Amino acid sequence: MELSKERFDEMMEISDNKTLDEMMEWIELQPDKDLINEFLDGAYSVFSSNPSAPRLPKLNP
Amino acid sequence: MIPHIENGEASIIVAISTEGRKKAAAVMGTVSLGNKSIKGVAKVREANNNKPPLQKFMEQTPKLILPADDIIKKELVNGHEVKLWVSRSSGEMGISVDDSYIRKDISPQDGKRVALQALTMVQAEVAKMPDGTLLTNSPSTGDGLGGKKEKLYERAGFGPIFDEVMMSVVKNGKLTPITSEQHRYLMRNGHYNQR
Repeated sequence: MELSKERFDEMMEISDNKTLDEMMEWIELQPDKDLINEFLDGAYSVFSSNPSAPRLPKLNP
Repeated sequence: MIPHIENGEASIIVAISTEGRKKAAAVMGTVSLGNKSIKGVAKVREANNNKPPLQKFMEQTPKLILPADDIIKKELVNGHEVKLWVSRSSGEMGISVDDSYIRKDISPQDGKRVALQALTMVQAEVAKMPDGTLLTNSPSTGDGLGGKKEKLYERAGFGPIFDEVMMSVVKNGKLTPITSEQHRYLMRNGHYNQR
């Protein structure tokens, strides 16, 4: 099972009004904390991995 | 003429072709539904329903623009520097940790804090961007994490990968995905060139 888009959006909305510490506490109180933690662990892997040279679009002038 | 029933109200939809576009309007009249006869209501309907979905998408999407400036934001999380960057030349958005793209052996707790910090930084920056700002990323890499990256960026509001790029447009301070079909449409119609 994965963290749903809806749950992710909900978490990010809540994070608007919380500090990082408060968010970490909030996560630990959630019934699906394992899913959230797994998602964040995966996110860290993604952010800390090596991107290849992308082919990116450019807008027309 | 197509009888149209919506919220208990019946009307007649007439398709009119105007400059190659389908236009629909409700006209005054009487509609017979089985053995019931209902007096029609004069009502002009906008013809959006008959437009091709991609044409609607373009009309509903603000003019696409690239970020006005390169953006670099840094935050420290338990001694780890989280950096968010956005390129004004391509709209590419990326995140690095400790100026490196190689996963370091940090505690799982710190890793989660770093990830959460990065996601909130993205959210905060996107909230400041004007409607129509185009953002991209290219999650296909040789590190075996392409699928994970794609999933993560999809959660954040990017569309699926098309031609190695995921795209998103800012609407009301939030990321709205650009689908493969929309992406293809933008390319075909010259809304951007490929590098």
